[in-house]
Amino acid sequence: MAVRAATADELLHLRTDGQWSKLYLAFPQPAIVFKARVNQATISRNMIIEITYDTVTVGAYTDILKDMTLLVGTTEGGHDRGIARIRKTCTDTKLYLGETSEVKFYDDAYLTVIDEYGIWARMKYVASGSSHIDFMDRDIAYTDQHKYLDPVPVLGPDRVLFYQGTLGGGNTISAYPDASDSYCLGSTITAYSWSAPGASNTSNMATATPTITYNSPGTYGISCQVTAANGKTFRGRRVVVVYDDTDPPVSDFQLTQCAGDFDAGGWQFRIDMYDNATLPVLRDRARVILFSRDWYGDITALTDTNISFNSSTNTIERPSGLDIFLTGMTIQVSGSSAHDGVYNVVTGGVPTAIVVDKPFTVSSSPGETVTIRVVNGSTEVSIGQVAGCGNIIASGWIAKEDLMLDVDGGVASFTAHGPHYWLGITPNLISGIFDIATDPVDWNYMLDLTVAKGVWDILHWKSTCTRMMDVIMLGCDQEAPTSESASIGAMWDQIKGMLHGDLLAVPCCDRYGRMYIEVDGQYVSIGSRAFTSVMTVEDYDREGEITLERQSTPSVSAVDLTGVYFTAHDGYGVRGLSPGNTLGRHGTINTIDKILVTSQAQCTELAGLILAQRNNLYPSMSFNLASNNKLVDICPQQQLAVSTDASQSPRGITVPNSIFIRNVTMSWISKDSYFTVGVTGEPEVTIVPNTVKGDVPEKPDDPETPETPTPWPPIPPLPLPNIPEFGYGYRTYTWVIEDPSVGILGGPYIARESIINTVRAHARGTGTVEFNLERRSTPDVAGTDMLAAELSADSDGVLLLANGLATGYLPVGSWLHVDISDVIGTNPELVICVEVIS
Amino acid sequence: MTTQTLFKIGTTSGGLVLLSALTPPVMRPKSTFSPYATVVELGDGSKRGIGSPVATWHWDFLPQAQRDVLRTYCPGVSSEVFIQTYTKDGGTIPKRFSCRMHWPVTEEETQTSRALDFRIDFTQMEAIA
Repeated sequence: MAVRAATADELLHLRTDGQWSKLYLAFPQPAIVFKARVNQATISRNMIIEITYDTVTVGAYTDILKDMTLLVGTTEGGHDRGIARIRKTCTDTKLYLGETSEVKFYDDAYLTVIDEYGIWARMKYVASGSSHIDFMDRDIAYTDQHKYLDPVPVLGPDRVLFYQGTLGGGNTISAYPDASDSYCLGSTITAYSWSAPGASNTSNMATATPTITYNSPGTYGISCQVTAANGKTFRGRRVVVVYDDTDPPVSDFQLTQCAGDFDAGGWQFRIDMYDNATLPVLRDRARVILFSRDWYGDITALTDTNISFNSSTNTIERPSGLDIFLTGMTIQVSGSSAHDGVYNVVTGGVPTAIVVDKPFTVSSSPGETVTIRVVNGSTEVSIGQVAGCGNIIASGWIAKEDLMLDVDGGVASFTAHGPHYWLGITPNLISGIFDIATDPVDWNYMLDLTVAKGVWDILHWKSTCTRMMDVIMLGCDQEAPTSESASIGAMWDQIKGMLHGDLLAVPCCDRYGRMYIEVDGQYVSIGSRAFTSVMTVEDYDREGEITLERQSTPSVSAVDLTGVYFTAHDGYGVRGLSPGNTLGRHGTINTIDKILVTSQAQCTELAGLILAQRNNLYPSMSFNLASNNKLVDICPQQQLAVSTDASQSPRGITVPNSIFIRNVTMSWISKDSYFTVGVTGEPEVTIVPNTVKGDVPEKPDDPETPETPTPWPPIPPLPLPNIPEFGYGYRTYTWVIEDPSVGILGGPYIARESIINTVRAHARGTGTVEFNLERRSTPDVAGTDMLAAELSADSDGVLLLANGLATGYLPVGSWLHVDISDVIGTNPELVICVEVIS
Repeated sequence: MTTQTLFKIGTTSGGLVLLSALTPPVMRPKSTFSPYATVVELGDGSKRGIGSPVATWHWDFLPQAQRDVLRTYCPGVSSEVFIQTYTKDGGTIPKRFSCRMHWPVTEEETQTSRALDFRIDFTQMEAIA
C-alpha cells in the first residue's frame, strides 16, 4: 500500500538502453451466474426494488451474490433494457435490486446476472409514516453499524496474468494477492478467508497472502472476507484475467493518450480501434485494463578477482556463480590485461565455466579484477508499485466513444476512466452524519465520528466502492462534529467537498484504480512529513530539459484560517494568520473556515503552509523521464528528488530538489514500441512564512494555552451574510453558543420561502436550555415564535424533531433568530441545528 | 570471413526454416540489426537507445517467386513471425527472435519479374532460446 522507492536493480533497469514494450488491452469477461426470464405481468417503471422471475436456464438463485450486476434485455444475455445491481440475497422467485427507475422491465424480459461488481450508489430510504425511520439500501435497518464498523478489504488491484505458452497440463500461472492492508476503523483485522472459484490450485487461503493458480485462460473472480475484532465481516471482490498464447489479449489498437492527474483525481486513457471495434467485449461501460509486457536492458554483471581464462577450451572459469550468463548472450569482459573484449556465450548456464565463441590467446589465472557484463541483452520484467501488477499501465471503464465514419472503415475511439470519473457521475442524496458520544440509534449518528469514518460511510454504505476497489485513508482520523455533503450531487464531489472542507484533504485514484484519501502533502506539518521519494531524477534520467514555472510575485497576501479543535466531542475555535496581522504587499486575501485541526499550534502552522503553498516560488516543474517508469504515480502522494545544477539555468537559480507528483503522462511511441513518461510536479514547500495566532472573539481559548476565564460579553449576532437565491435544496444553519446565559442569536436572512425540516439541539453541561426559533421582519425587533412550544435541550444529548412542524414555515424576507432566554442550570455550550428546505 | 547464410523464418519457434530451404529457395539478404529503435538525448548530454530491437532484410532484387514465398509469412501489412538473423555483436552466430514482420507499404518496384530494392522490416524483436 505504501509507496516504495525504486530498488537498486530497478534503477539500473530504468537506466538501461533498449527499453521497449508490447501493449495489450484486457477486457474482463465476467462469468454468467444466472439466467432467467421476468415473470411479472404488471411492472412499475418507478422505484423498482424487486422482480419476479421464472424459466431459469443457467445457474440457481443461490449462486447470485450481493452487488452482482443484472443485465436486462430483449434477447438472451442482452442489456438493452437496462442494468441493475443485486441488492441482497435472492429467493427462488424474486431478485432484489438496488432501487431503480431506469430499467425497462417487462414480462418475459431476459435476465442475466453476471459476476461483475461495479460502482453503484446505494440509496438511503426513509420509511413513510410517523416514525420516519431511515433504512440503508432500502431495507437495512440500523442496529449497530455506526458503532461497530464493517472492515474494509484492501485486496489490491484487479490483475492480468499473461502466460507465454499454452496453459494446461503442468503449465500454470499464479496470482499472489495481498490483503494485509485491510483495516477496520475503530477495530483491527483478525482473520482472512479467500475464495477463488475456477483456480486449479490454491494455498494459504486463510492468510492475508494466498497463492492462487490457474491452468487455463479466462476471467476469474476472487474474493476475500475479512473479519474484524469487533465481530464484523465484509467480503471484497476482485478480478483476475488470465491469457495465454492461444487466448491472447487484444493487441491491435492504438494508444493515443494516457495520463493521471492529481487535480482530476485519477487516470484516463484513450484508444483507437479499427476493424476490431465490433468485439463483443466492447460493451458500454466495459471494464478495461491497459497493460504491457516490458523489456529493459539486461543488467546481469559480475565483478570478481577469482576469474580465470582457459585458452585451450575457450572458457571463462570461476569456482561458482557463472550460471547467470546464458547461452546466446553477448558479454563484455573488462579489467583483464589480456582478454578484454566482446564475446558470445556458446555454452552458458553452468556455474563454473562459460564457453565463448572466440579463442583466448593465452590462459590466465585469477588475480585481476575482472568484470563480465551482458551487453545489448534485454530482460522481460515489469516495474511497478504493486507486486504482480507491474504490467498494468492504467485501468478503468470505457466511458466515451467517438466514431469517425469513413468509406475505408473509420475509427472508433474509446476513452476509459478510473473510479474518480465514475464516482463523479454517480449521484447521491445528501449525506450527513453527526458525532455522538453514546451508542447511535439510527443511521444519522456515528459513535466517535472522525473524518475517515464519515467518508467511509459514503464509500461503504452509500456506494459499493469498498466491495470492488481498495479504499485507503491516510491521516484522516481527526475527530469531527459532523460529516456532511453540501448538497445532492455527484458522490465524488461530495467526498471532495467533505474532505477539503474538513481537512484540506483530497481523494485520488492511482493507475490501478485504488482510491487514496490524504491531506495534501504541502499542508502536512513539516516535522511530520514522511513522504517516500521514488527515486532521484538525475540528468541522465531525463530526456531533454526541465521546465520550471517561477512565481516571482505572490498571489496571496494573507491567509486567515479559522479552525476547530474537536476532541472528546467538544469543539474549540482556533485561528491562525499568515504572514501575520499585516497583509502582504501583493495578492488576494484567502479566508478559510472551519478546518479541523488538532491544536492552535497546528492551525497557526497550517495558515503558514497554505500561504507558502499558494505563493510557492516554483509552483510547477515538468520533465520527461527517458524510461518506461511505472513506479511514479499521482497517488498515494509521493515525491521525486530532482538533481539539478544552478549552472544549467540562465538565471542561476537553485531549484528545489523535491517535488510532489501531480501529473504523469505515459507517452507511447507506437512505431518504436516504447514509453517515455512526462512528469509534472509541485516543488515541495519547506519554509513556513511568519504566522501568528489569531483572535477568536466568541470562543473560549483553546485548551493548550489556558488563560484565566473571563466573563463572556453579550453574544453578538452571527455575521452571516444574506443567503443568496439558490434552487431547491436543504440548508443547515447551526448555532454553537458558548455559555448561553442570555440571548437572542441573530441568524440568516430568508431569501426564499423555506420550511423547517428538522431541529436538533444538544446542551452540554448541567441543566437544560429552553429555546425557540423566532421569525423577525427586522433583525432588532421582536418577532414571532416559530415553534408551537419551547423546546428543551438538555445534557442527555440530542432532541430531534422530525418533519411536520406546523409553524415551521419561513416567509421570504424574514430573519431567523434563536431565543435562548430561558436557561436552567449551567450550560457551557448549546448547539442548535436547524435544517430547512428552500 | 564466414558467409552469413543461416537466415531462417517460421510461424512458430520450432518451425524455423532456412531461407535457402524454402520453395523456391530465397536468396540470402543483406541484414541489419539494431538493439533499439531510436536514440534519445538525455539531460546530461549522453544518449540512450530506446525502443524495441529492429532488423531489416534487404535484397537489391528478388525474383517474384521468392518474394511470393516470403509473402506467405506476412499476407497483410504485418504479422507475428519467428526469424533467425544476425546481430552486430553476435558475430557469426545468428540469434533467434519472435518479432513482428512488416511488409513494404510503398509500391514495390519491379522489373522483369523481380522486386527491386526490396526490404522487409522486423520490429518488437524478442530474443528466444
